[in-house]
Amino acid sequence: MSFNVPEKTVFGFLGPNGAGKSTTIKMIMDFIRPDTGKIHICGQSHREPLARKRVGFLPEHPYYYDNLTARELLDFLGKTADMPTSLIRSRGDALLERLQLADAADKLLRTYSKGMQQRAGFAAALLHDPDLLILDEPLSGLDPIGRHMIINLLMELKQAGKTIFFSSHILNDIERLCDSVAILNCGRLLFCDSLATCTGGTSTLEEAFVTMITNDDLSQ
Amino acid sequence: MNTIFPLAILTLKEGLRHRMLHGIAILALLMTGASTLIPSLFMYDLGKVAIDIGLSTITMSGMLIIFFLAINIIGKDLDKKTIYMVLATSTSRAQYILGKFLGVCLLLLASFLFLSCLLFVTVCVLNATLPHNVIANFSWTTLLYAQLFLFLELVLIASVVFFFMSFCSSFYIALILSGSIYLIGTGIESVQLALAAKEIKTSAGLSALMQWIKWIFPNLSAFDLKTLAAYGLPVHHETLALTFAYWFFYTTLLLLCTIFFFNRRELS
Repeated sequence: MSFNVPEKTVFGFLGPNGAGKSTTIKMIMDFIRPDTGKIHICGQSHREPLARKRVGFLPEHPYYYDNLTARELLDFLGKTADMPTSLIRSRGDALLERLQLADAADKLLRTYSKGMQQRAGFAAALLHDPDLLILDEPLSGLDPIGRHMIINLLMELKQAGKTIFFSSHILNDIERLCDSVAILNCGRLLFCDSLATCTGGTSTLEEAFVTMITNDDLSQ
Repeated sequence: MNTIFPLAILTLKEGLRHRMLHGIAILALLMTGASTLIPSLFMYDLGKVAIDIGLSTITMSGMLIIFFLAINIIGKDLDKKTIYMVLATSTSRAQYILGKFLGVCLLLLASFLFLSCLLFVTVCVLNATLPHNVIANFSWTTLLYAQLFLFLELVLIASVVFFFMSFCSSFYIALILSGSIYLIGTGIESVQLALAAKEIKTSAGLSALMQWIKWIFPNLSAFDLKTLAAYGLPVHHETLALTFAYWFFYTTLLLLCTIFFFNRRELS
């Protein structure tokens, strides 16, 4: 597969279960290695650790160190991003406040609910003010209030000109947020273009998605 | 270092708050308590028994930290994918290994310093209360060397664990392999001495195999200065310098191999 995520856009990465979305994201983040091909992040090879300096990442199932607090987690991430201590503290506090975790900032992460862990993951991904956000199923595990909060946050980041690449099963959210989409099935890229081209201006994203996947399955 | 040191501190904090460490600390305190009580059951060599128990407590606590706590912390990182959070930053895999290793070493150092202080107090109390039982030629310097080389041995064993963790799919396998290396490493010198003294009849092939084993596996007996400390025997500085060089090269080589394998590992 080959695709390009334009700067300052929100790019939806869609596909049924087992299509290869998380595998692709793991390759982009250099957790697993592709057999062939190249991946570039902001012009640098993804194998270069410095290429990830401008990236904020949220895994599908965020799991952090049990015996640390959210504040300690952010302190660590800020230090690895070369942020000054005062900036780590001010930006960390603002993010924890924004994600309604300020009261739990000094509690151990093992006491967090799944939704709180997901929101702590957002704070961790956004701490160093990255230009590119790579989010794997960012809305899974969140209650309606949490989802609303994160969607609003993503809207704000979009307005701020950040590039957001995220995978999701929830097509309504993709339709609300994304400028472009890529559709994947069984490791093959079926479509990669603007959302308007995908829906053709007449159908919904869900209809276009189901049609594409069904046709692909029938052709195999 | 901007990544390695924060990661080491993170590992230290994670380790210090781990329930397993609290259990190890209680066990170590019980053994230290025993080292002040048990000697009074002996007619003589009280100082020797106290030093033996004290140094053994440091070894046992270090081993428990390495084989259970450190393996658990690193294994969880890989199993639960906490490692994604670290590697999603600009941290390289080599920095990850070095940071985690340094963190485990700091954890070992914390345990070592705490238990060494307790041993120091125990020896002082015994020397003050039972002065006629003080070891002839007792030397604080020898005791300090014994403690220092014990710490170096623990660091070397930690590097063996990291080496196996870098490519083993399960941390139980890494635990078994590292434990086997420890057993071989502690026994290798005795076998060599027995062979040299011709106490055991061997074929030429077996002798050649023993030579290879001697070069491949770490000789952990070289770091064991308990007997010298317990009997107040003199230390040979040349031997200590050679042992230190051996430790440095063996640990560095293992860490380089760990980084080599870990760089090629799929973190799926």
